[in-house]
Amino acid sequence: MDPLWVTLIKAFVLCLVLLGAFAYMTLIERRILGRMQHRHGPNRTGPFGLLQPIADAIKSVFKEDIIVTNADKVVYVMAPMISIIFALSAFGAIPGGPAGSLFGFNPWVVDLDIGVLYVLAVTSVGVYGIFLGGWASNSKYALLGSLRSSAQIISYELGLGLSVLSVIMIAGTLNLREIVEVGVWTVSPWLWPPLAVAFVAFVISAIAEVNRTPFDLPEAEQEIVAGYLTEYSGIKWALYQMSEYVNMMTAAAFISTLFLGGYRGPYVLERLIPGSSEWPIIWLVLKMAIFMFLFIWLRATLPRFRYDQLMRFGWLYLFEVALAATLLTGAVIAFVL
Amino acid sequence: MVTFVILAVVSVVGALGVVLLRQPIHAALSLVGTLLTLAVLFVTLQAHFLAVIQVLVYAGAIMVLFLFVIMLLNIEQQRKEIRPWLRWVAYGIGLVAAVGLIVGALLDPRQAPDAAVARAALQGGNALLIAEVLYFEFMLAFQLVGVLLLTGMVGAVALVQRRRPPPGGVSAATAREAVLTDRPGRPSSHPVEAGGR
Amino acid sequence: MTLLPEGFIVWSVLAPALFLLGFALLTLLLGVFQRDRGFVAAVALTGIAGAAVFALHFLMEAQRGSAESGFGLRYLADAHASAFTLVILLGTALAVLVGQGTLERLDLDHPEYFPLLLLSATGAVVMVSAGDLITLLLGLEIMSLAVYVLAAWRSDVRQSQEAGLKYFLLGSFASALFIYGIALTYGAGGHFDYASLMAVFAATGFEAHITALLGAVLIIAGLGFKVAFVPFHQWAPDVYTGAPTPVTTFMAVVVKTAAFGALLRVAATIFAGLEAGALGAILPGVLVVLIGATLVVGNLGALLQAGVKRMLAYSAVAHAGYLGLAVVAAGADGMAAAGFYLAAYTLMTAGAFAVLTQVMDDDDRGDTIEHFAGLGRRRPWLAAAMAVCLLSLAGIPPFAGFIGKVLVIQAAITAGHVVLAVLAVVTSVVAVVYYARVVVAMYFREQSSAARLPERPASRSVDVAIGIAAVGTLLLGLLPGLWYTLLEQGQNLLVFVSSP
Repeated sequence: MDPLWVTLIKAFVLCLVLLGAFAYMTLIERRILGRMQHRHGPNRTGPFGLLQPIADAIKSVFKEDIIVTNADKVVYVMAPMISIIFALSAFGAIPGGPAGSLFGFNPWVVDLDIGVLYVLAVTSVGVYGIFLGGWASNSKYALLGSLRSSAQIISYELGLGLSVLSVIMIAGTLNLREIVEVGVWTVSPWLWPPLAVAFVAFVISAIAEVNRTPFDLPEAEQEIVAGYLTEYSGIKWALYQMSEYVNMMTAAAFISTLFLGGYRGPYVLERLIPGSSEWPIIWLVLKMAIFMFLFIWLRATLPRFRYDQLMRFGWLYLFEVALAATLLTGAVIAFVL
Repeated sequence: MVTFVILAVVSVVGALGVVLLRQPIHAALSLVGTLLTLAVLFVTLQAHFLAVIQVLVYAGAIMVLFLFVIMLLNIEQQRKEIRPWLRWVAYGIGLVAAVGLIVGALLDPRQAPDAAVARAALQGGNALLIAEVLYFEFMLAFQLVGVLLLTGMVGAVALVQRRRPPPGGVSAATAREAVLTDRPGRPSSHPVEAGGR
Repeated sequence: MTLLPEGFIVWSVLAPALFLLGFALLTLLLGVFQRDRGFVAAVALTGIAGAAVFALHFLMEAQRGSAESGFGLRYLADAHASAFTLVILLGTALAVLVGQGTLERLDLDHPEYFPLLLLSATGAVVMVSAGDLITLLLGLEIMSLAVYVLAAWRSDVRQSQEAGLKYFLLGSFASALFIYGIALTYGAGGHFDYASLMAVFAATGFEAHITALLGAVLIIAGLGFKVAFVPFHQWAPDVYTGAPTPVTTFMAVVVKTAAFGALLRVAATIFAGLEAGALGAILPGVLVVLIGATLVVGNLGALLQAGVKRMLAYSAVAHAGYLGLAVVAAGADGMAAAGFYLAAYTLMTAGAFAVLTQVMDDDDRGDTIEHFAGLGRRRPWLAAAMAVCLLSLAGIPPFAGFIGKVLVIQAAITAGHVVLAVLAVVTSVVAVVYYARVVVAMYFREQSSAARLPERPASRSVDVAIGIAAVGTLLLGLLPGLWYTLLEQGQNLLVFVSSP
């Protein structure tokens, strides 16, 4: 256990890192999207547009902060804060490396026995931000957007939770660090099929949970303006953007940790350079980068679901597939191993 | 002790908010606040598992559904109370019960077990301890909860999704398929879909 | 890791409940693609019969003194549990038959009807077999949840909606009281299972009497709601009347049997343990007041009703009072008496409601006494069956209801509650009046033109149900020993023995 002040400093640093990463993720995303759509993307502010995020930040802060007259003021102001606070706190439980590897400190903020549940719980509370923001705006588009979002998040949480179950059953622990140490793929080749299914189901659910394309119905411009964001502007709008990107990063880190060995380096490299998988942070960040790229790639490639398709997909296919993976894992553990 | 007092005050204020706030959404939010505070309280008691379950189940699932229903039905603030005196009677009873509980707790000779003892008992992964009790001692009850959930599900579907087969004998399976496909132009009976429309 | 003791998990004791559950799932699946309701009903009846075979097996085992139990006395299959299971299955079977014959006519034919009926019966079986409070609670909730839905089955009719909602809201409130009672009992005794609680409460040196007593009173309130003890009876007339009559048939017999089965077991163990300690006299006092009020209110209420359905609802309240006599006398004696009474009650009440479905029109209306006028001439067999059931309900020899009343009154007197016994006798004289009114109308009055019997072919399955009910009532009245000896001589687990 770290002393309290160490934990607090680490939490503070993590927040700063996440927010900085957010700022540059927006730039990276716009550049990649530009590439994929045969245009330039932002490239005017500084070399390669590297100063663009700073310009955006300054704009957001100084822009007029509109509070809608008929809004529920308290809730309206509170909603984006809820969103960002829970988005930031979820990341704290994800380990960035083996114990004591970061200059003698542990590369995580908290090491919980129930880390998996913690991440799920905190992200599930985050939905209140979107939900309340839409309601407090007192506007029909915002309300529709928030209702869509909450229905979507509740529905896809089932698939998410069920596909995590396979990993938990195989690893026999809820501690994220121990899950990484066990290495779920190394347990038995019999478990590969259910794990693969669970992995795919989990990635899809995670994309839906963070409201990314093709599941970005809460802010479907063509239908409901900007969904729950319609009445927000300035810094509050920026807070929502922040929480969306932080949630994306948490999802990427969570997927990497559960299914892809988290902070551990590739097996081949460990053979070539012994000790390389003990390096903190770097492997996790690399794995996260792959998923972040995947998210952006999907956004450039796929059209948006229609609402009933979204619900049908979640309840009739994803849920069943995740359930099957769970049952299969249980059967393999009970009868084969 | 200081933490406890702060948390206790916040949770009690939240609970009072549930009763006193007139706007249903505010009352529900107040309840969320109380539940989260209780979760933190559990953390200070080293009951991590319980705390997370509290957040995951109550704040993350049940209250979201509550709010969802409140928003969907767009419940107006209740303007006229049917029996105003009843509210005061209820306050009175609540007050008496609270005072009785506090006095009873203070007078009880058996004081709370030593916190250190409780903490020692919970060390080393209390998820495992809970699992042992749940899956061994209360295995039967655990299975029965499954039957209970099934009953609730069947009942809800039976009440909500009622489709008479059209004359000409379309089988129930087709009727069901039609409901699930929810083709554009048909009125939706699915509560979630109806909300998003 | 704590390992379970050998023989903790005994799935076989769950056989009746599991069989019912399996067939509930089967009927649910069948409902998806099978529109033939008769076939589904037949499958449901098969499931009930299978469960009955297992229950009978356990009852016979109990006769030999080798009653079985599982999960560390948390689930019992002794004489009491199996006998009550059989009564529940009988009630469910009658309800299935009545439903099969009437659902289509009433436009209530939805595929989830029989599955819900069977699920509810599963919960009821779990309730009477429970050996700890958690299992009991879950059984109660499974049973109730299904019945709440069934009560609101005519979702386009106001009264049915009202019945469902009222039952649900008040039932949830009662469940909350019940859970609070369980919490207090656990707080006082530190256990959930009856065996340990009984031992802890009766042990010398037990101090938390007031907490335990409060817990017991709240448990009585929770279960008292389900059996409709006064003052927790107010839902009964509205819900019984508002629910579709085939559902009322089920509700009146199965829910009552299950709740009494559980209440008797709790009374014979936990309450008995409490009564052995200090402040022990309070609990019987509470029960006596409740039961006395139930007898008076139930019978007087029935006297004032114009509709036969509502009259039968109040009569169900009144019969809760008579069965309450067995609860205050819940030694082995009271349990056996109640087991007999409930078997008789199931037959005669289900029979009366089944006849009612035949008299009422296709809109589930028309249950005044006028509608029964002249029934003896037009439908002599139907009228005869109704007369048997009603006279039995009134407690007139040689029908089963009479023997039942004698047994519970005897049990109360043996337990020293003479005043209550006298009250029961007096009120049952009042009861004769309102039951006889219907019988008189059937045989001694002409059919009125305003309230004609609906013209329609008789339903065979309802006729079967009525036949079983009437013949059963007569048979149990003439040969009570057939059933009563099984109850009396069977072995009951968890019987309270006061320590010397």
